[in-house]
Amino acid sequence: MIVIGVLNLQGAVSEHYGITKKAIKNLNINAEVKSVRYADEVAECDGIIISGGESTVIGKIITRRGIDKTIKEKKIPVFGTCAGMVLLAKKTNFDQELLGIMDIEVIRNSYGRQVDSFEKKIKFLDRDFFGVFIRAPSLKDYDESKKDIEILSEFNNEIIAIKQGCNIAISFHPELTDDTFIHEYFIKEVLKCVE
Amino acid sequence: MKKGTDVLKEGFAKMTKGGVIMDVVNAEQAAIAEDSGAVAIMALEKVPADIRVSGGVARMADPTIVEEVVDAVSIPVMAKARIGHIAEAQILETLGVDMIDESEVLTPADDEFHINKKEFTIPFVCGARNLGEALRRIDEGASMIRTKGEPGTGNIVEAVKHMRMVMGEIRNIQKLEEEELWKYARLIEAPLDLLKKTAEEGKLPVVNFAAGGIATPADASLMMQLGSDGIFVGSGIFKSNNPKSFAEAIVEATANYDKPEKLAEVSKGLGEAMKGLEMSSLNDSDRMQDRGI
Repeated sequence: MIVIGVLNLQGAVSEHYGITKKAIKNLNINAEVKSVRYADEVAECDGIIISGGESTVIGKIITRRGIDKTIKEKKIPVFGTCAGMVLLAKKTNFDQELLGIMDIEVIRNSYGRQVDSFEKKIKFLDRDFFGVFIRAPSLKDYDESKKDIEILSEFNNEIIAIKQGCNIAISFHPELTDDTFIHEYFIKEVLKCVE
Repeated sequence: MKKGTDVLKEGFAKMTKGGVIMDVVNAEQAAIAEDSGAVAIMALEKVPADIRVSGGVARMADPTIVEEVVDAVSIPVMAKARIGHIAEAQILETLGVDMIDESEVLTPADDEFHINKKEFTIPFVCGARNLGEALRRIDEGASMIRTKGEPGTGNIVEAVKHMRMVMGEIRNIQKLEEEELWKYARLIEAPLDLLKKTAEEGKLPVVNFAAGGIATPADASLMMQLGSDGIFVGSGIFKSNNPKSFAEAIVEATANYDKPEKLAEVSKGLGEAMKGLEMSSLNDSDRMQDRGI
């Protein structure tokens, strides 16, 4: 059995929880989703999801509660959406606390303010997906020397989903749709990484 | 590519869940708020407590203040427009504000109609004292609801009353049969489709924050325990003796709302909270919550 933890600190947490539950059901595997708030709860998980929200706020709590240390020490796979992508990055255009476990550089609010937030049909691993971009970040750069980096999705010549090892960062919000495809993809990656 | 859809507007509000939104009147306060862990800030000309003292007509903030605040931080910025004041809302949207609070804290511009919020690209938050009011605002296009409380008083009693009212009504309608829902919708003057949706899901169709009178970390925890998705703090921070400490403590208290030992720790030695007002000292004409119902 594997446990997927949704980091319940700030942002669209219940949405991730609901869609992860559905994804597990679709996959018909022995897995459980848990809402986790502290380092000891995170330590019990095989994979962690970091929701959209404010990366500055989530970053502060992650550091204060030692959740970053636990994830790094136990090498727990992390799936981050929007603010989650920012937190996975080693570098952003703002001085803030990060988890920093992917060799990527991210620009926050790259498409502008809320008035510029948009929906757009995109491709994720060559499959159609409904992309919801809210004050979304973008990927400025990634370390090409790292052999474990894989591009999962591009839009307008920009990378919007990227994977390194067992970690996945995407700039949009699958948790605001009913489509479980990306969550199922993450769970399958966790299964591979646990082995 | 589509902009200004319900998914984007309601989605924006969802991204603030579990956070604290703070009132600020200049760039310096905005920076303190962001540094302390605010999830968003509300740009104003005066905090509600000062609006009470100064009297007269309270309007949208000077665009200079709004722009200054928008430029000062990386987190989202909200601003208040008068109830029914379409032009103020249009101006705020142009200034790059991320969400508009159609607020009873300002003097209403229209005593009959609220803004048609569906016509805007950016989302709105509106105040409500009960379920009927909340669903009417959502029907008009509000993407987020907050309790009205009694702003600028530092007194939590009205926010508690409004949150308990909404939560209690939601618990009650879940037990009703279809025919009873028809009647209840008429009784509380709420759209039937939204009432049914609320009954089915057991929660409001949009994010629901607490606002109006939150002055201490314990107040924030209380509202979270009553079921708030997050907290607005108006005068409570920058009318206290030590804004930075109060801001940080209220953020910590919201994140740890169910951990009394942590609440005790963050509440220690904070200095004086804002003085506050007893409800019975307010005249009917001083009550902001009765505006725009």
